[in-house]
Amino acid sequence: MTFLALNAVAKTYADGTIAVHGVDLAVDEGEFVVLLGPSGCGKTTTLRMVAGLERATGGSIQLAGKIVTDLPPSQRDVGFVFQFYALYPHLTVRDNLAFPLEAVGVPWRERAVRVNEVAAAVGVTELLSALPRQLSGGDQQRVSLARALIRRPRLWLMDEPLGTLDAAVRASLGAFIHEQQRRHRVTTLFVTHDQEEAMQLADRVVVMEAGRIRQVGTPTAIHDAPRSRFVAHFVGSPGMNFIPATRTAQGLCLADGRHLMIHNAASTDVLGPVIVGVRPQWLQVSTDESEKVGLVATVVLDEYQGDHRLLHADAEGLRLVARIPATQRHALGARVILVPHAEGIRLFDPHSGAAL
Amino acid sequence: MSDAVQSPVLVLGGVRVEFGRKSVLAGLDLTVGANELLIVLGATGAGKTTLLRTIAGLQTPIAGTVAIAGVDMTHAPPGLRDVALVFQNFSLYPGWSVRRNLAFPLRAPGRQLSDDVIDERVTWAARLLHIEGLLDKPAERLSGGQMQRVAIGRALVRRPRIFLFDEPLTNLDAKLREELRVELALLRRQLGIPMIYVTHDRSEALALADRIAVLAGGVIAQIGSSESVWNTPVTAAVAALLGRS
Repeated sequence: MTFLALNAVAKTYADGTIAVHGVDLAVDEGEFVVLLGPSGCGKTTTLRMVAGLERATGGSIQLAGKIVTDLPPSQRDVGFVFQFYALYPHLTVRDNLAFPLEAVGVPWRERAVRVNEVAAAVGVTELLSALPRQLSGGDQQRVSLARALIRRPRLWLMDEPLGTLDAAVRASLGAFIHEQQRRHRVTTLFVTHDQEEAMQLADRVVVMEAGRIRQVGTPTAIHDAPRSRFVAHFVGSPGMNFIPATRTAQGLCLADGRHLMIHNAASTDVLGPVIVGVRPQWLQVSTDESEKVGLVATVVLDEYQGDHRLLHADAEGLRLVARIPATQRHALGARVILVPHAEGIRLFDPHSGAAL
Repeated sequence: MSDAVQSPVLVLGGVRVEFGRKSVLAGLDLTVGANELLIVLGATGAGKTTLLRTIAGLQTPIAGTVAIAGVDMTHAPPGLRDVALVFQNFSLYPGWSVRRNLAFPLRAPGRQLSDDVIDERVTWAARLLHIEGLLDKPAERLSGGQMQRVAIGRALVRRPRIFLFDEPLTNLDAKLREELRVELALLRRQLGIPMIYVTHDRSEALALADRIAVLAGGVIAQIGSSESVWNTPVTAAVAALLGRS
């Protein structure tokens, strides 16, 4: 059941700058939806309009069946989780955490349980009796986040809440948010530019660019079936590789006359120039000079990643990245052949960038 | 653990730094070789930034020595050390062109460089950082990634003896961070200047490092190649820093 509905919601600033061009989005009750996109794509503005912190200049926002477009934030029962918070300097960490619960009349026994639970999750249990000024910057931030998460409103709006934290803390807090959201079924709209975070948390991901929604889908759908080159490149770490080629009746042909792959074109296929998209994990790296298919390339960079390597190679000015096993070594300057796996291949229109 | 360093450029011996009664660096030893890229990993509050500030001369240790290129610099002011520091929060001069922003460090008092030399260095740095096309653009009109490139360029033009990076990519979008990481890896190969690079991004650390030094308890708890630190972390805390749990 739709809990939050955005209908043609738009934001144009007084100087004429358009931040959001008429966005449509329906979020189900209990759903975790992540708005993902580069800075300036309109994701935070969209979130702030839902919160009521920013006035929509077009369209309507419906929350639990009620139009809230022009209501102030206090009448929306939303919990807003930012990256930075102020803590009450005269209250201990425990009292800072308990405060939002006390304000809404949660009994003390439950308050204590929830304070301990959230403190353990963000790793500040041993700091519960400390005052904010006795904490390091990172610890203050964890406490602020914990305080924001202790309330369970009808809708959580989160604007990059994990943005500036250490990787390890980010992962554990991400898991905590996820677990809390699932357990209490709080409908959540979460903004991030980090696609790994998006993939980890979301039921559905909304990819935005230049004030527009480019694709909405499950993390798997967004990753495996991107509808445009933008989404294909933005999602995935690193993003998808793109190779200009020509689709002929015999297969995918490269500019130098080599084949990327041979196949029978289906009768419905459009022949002609295409962009072949292939993710780094679907590129096989071969050193067999007699290989008849694939791209001939020169290794320019080998990035060790612990459990794998990212091998960067140049093929006639085209930079490609392959994700290979950590045990596979290739010297800089070595000649390699990059062969895409058929199941990893996606085709895009060379002009519009749309998936074919 | 491999800590045999060829032709060291930087040697820290028994460095102690305290803030009030809190010990931040507790007799830290570290040797960095010419041409090396050393990653410093550590939890928040481990003293990573303090370590860089001590090397740069912005923080004076209460004990121990800092030697750069074989010369004791423990008490030398920052200006004499010839090291460049790049932060995550950078400052550029709005209203000034990228060119003027890049040239400014070379016009600092005490540096007597001719306009030709300055021009040549600015062009060189801009080419390395792929910002030649932006040289005449006002700094405030740049994107975040372009601004960070200019900030790195301002350190680059000085051709320092040592580069110190304090989480330079942290404030950038994840996607941009990935791209700049690759560019930095390619750039350092052309430069041949040792770099000490603080980060808490595991991908960045593993990809860029010649060696990784793990800072914990005010000392270097482990130092070695990416592979050795990844494969044989000395403590569970080190494993956690690398995202292995």
